[in-house]
Amino acid sequence: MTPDDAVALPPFGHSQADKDIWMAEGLGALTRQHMRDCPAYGDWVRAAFADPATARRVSDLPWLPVGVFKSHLLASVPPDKIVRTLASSGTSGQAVSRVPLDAATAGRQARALSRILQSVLGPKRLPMLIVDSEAAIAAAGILSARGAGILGMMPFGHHHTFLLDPEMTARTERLAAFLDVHGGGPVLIFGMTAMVWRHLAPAVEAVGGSLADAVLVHGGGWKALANLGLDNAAFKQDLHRRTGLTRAVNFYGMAEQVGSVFLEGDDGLLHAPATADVIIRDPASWDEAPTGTPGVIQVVSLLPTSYPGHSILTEDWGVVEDIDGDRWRGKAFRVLGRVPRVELRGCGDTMVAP
Amino acid sequence: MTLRQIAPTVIEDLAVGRLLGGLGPPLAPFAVGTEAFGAALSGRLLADPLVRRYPDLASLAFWLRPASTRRLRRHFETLSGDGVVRVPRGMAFHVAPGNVETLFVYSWWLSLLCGNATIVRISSQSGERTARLLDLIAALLAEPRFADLRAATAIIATARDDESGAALSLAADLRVVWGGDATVAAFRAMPLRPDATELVFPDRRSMAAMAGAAYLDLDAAGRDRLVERFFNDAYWFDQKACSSPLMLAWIGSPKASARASADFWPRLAAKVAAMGYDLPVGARLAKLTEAARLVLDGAAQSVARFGEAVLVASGPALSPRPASCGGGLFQEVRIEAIGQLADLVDRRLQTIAHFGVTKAELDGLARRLNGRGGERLVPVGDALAFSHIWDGHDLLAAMSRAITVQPEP
Repeated sequence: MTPDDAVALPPFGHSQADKDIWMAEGLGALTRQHMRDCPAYGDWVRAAFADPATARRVSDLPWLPVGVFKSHLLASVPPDKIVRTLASSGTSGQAVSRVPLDAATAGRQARALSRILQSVLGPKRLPMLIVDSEAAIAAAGILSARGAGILGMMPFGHHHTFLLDPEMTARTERLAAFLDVHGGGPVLIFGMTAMVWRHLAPAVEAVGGSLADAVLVHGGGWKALANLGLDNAAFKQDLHRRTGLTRAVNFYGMAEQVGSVFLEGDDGLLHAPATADVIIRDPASWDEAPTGTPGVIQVVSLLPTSYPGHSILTEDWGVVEDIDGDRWRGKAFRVLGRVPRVELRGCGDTMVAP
Repeated sequence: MTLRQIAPTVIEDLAVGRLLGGLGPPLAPFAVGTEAFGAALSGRLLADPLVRRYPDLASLAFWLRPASTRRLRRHFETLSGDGVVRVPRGMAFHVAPGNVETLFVYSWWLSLLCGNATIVRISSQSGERTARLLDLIAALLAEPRFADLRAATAIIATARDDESGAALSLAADLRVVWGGDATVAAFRAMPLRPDATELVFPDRRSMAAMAGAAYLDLDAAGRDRLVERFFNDAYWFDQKACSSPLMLAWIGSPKASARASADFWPRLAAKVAAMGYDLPVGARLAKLTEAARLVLDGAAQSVARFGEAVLVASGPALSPRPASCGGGLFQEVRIEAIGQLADLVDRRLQTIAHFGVTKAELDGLARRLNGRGGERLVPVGDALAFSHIWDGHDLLAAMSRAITVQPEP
């Protein structure tokens, strides 16, 4: 299956057995393509993995540690084909990931995202409130993953209203105007989890509004929530209590794999779409961990053809809870947090061998 | 100013003038009281339960024993004589590294043995070992027999950007800066008096070199003993000490090197497992990432895992990577002759831990390097052993003055 064929599939409802077949075939082809077109990537595969031609399962295929996107710009297309370089927002003081997109990859990402989100939003566009500032999408050339997420979502809405000013302060008068006009019917709210948590409920309380008919799509901020000691359920409960919001859909995705979005289902678990999947790896052996056993999350995606990011070992910790267990079918998983960054202390230089 | 006043609590607003005013005069080199203090501290350390948890404390205790001090004294005596009398520099200001908990004692003790009145600045972020060392030192210095030492000592704990460093630098006859490039650069910006001198210890990294044929000549028990010594060099400090090997170079025929390598790494993995060495998941990921970067940069052509904590990236004969994420990622290279080691050495390479190399070959290598790196050529297993010769400096010589004493003919 080609990447474009995969995007055309319904995003959910496939059995894992079916999906494994096209993922193994598609990812195998992508591996060969990137080995050919990105020589450094080919060196890595040959250095660290068995011949991909012998791989029978998705988990046998090579992967790349996500950290290398912070140090290396890996491209599988000539520079003149790159239309945009995507940069992760990155925590302060840390290097950002950079991935080069050509027109084909960027378009495929947008189409894949669109199909995935239509499965929860329906085909109709809604008035859209964005819990962010216009500044996030203003920069030219290099786009932050946050900005890319907003741009990717905007086609699902109309009357786009940015809640925050460039100083990241809520503009309550805008919210009041938005709710005056659209508050009677369904609206779409989008933002990063941490920003939604910080700004949405206080602003709604300040204008005395209600989000009872809204659907919130939020993601990327579960690490921040974990820092606040909040889980997804408490996040939802609080929003419901303060704003009347009943539908909140969490998503998980990597800046290095835009368009491969894992959506929260009614079961509160994340579900892999037809173009992507997760593999949980045991950090002792790096073999695939059984269902129910937590480990390091590997994300695979059929979307990237302009850079070798189709199989990435993340620095996140998670667990597959269930396979083919509900109407979404496929893998249902939970992200448990970020693997703690450790700085080994070392340095002694003070030993005397007895 | 006595140690008791500042340990174990951290004084951040220490008045430098008061500190300097309270500091006693320099002592005689290798004063009886100084040597006795070393013996006493060694005894207290060996009796301390913390020693069992931290091998570096045991090493420090061992190094402070009278027999070890006698060897230092004999060395100091060779620096004197023949028209030279060795005397202290005067006041020495030492800056200890934040992450090397025991090092401040080595630096302070050598300085005291040379007779210097010594101020040691330690990090206010120091851990359990530092706290215990300070307690033991303070208790001993409170004894009347060590009154001279107490007067000649101040150990201060400050925040990293504390301004006292500039004032102490101006007061010092000798400044000793540990802690790597960043710390050295920060102190280089603080002037010394024109007549003062300075010893600095910038960032360093290290490697090992073994003769494949010599390895293959060992029986299984011999190989295991060598592997244990390599394990100590590499893993005691998570491969993060400046002297821990980041790279292993096999010397000899390609065939012997290949056979030795195939035997060595699984044996090391077994040792690592037997020692219960465990790495946090974050460190495992960091190792994989660093290995991938080596490959992407063309510095490695194959990456192999042995057990949970040995990752080997083999590649062309280049210098070791600039810094280590630690935790057991080894570059592996093969060279045909010992002389080619010189091509791998740069200014920032400190230790080459060797096996199966003759003294003549080592002498030849040191001369061939001719001072452009590779300051310690020591047997595998001794990479972390502290010595009064460090990073190319004779510390006893550098911390004292040579006085010319020439009688009338």
